[in-house]
Amino acid sequence: MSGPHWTEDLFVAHDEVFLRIHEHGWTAGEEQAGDLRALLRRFEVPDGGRILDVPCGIGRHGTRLAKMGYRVVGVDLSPAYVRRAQDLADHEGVSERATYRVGDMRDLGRAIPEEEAPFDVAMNLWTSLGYYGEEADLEILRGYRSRVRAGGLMILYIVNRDWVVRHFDPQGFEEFGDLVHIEDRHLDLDASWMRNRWRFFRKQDEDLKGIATIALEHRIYSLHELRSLFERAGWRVEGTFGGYKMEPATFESPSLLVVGRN
Amino acid sequence: MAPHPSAAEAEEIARFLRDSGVPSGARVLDAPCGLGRRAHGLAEQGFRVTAVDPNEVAIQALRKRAGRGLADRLEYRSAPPARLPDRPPAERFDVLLCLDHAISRDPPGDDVAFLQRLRGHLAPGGLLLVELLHRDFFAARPRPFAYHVIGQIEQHEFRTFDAATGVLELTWKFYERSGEDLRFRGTSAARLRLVSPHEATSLLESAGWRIEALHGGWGREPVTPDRRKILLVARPARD
Repeated sequence: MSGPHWTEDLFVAHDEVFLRIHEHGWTAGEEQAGDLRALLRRFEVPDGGRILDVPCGIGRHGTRLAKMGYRVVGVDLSPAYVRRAQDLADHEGVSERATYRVGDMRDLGRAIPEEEAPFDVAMNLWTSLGYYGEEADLEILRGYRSRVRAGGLMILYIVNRDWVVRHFDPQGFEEFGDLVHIEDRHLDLDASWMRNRWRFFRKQDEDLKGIATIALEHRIYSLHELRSLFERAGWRVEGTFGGYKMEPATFESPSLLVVGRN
Repeated sequence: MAPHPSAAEAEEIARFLRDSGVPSGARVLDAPCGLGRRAHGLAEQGFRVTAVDPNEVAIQALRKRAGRGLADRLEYRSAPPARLPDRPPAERFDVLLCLDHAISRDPPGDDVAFLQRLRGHLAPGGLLLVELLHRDFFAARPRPFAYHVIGQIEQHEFRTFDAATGVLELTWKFYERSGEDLRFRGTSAARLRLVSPHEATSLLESAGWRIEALHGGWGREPVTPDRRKILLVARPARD
């Protein structure tokens, strides 16, 4: 592979672009965090338990969960998102219960020293797995396990490959205020990898001013594959859902939520 | 350099016609011809093409573009929509082309009357080809956006399909590519009433045509919900 990995390109080199999309998702985090609390309770995580949120983005879930009393440590590759997460936690008055730091999910041992462990729960949300390939994902899931207590939980929320196949759309368009995002999608069925090209523009009157073009690729999984990944990494799968509301997982669920126990 | 996409399409149509037993040099009526995407290419392929469209501005421009090279094989005419194809009563063609979802528009025109008028211009043994967008494709895949690139022009297409009325609303924005930037060049829109294959068939039948074949494209692909277009091959109900 030549040049930096696309995650560096998108989340660090062009951090200001994706930050806009994070900001856009901030509001949705409120309801999702409420759903997560219901899920944590159902799986018998004590209120006020310790949560490891990686990658945390701007803390849209972590900071809300901290407001509900949980103690959250968030890790993200992007210094800009971590700064923003700290600001938002401050603003919400929970900077003591939600702390954020820069780190790589592939090297959790370094981001989270052993003495900070164990956590009751680790979370990987918003399709943040698959970026580095299946072998790396296995190591990432083992890394979470090394920081979660026996009996603790792993929560994964990720796009559902079966939904992508059924609803495959080769092109996409989204607006976030004056930011325009145009996506070319290619699904490589041989490898089950999405190979996409993202173009970002800023609206200038009617013109679209190019800001960044990023090629990004990630492995996508069907539910049985996620189950197998969890098990290979030492997590016992205790719940599989079609979303944050713990609805049943079907081919028509855009995303899957998998709960594993250590 | 890759061939212009419309040239490639004209080639596909030409192959389809030859495989249907239509010889090169046959007389083709393209109505409405739109921006002449197919008419020009078919004339280059050796057919004698008469292309008619209500858009007078486009017709003027197309005449200039056609130049002298194809003058003996390519004729552009403008005509009011309600009179299309507006040809002299005795004029007959071996092939009638009605492409690009030219009928079943919204608000509705008198499609049956138009299809009946076309019948009067068909030479013995001739055939009618009607190309429509396929409702089942859009119903199964409600894709809100697509873009196409033609040369330096990037065309953004925004779609809303209302299953209750069957109306597909298309809005286009045209940009010129300049490095990573897209310079706005204009916009246009259309409202189409999409039909399923059985509705397309009965529309043609009610205008006195008999359906000979139904394809999913110029390569005679089967009609499935995965095909964006329906191609109907028709002959007069009583030849």
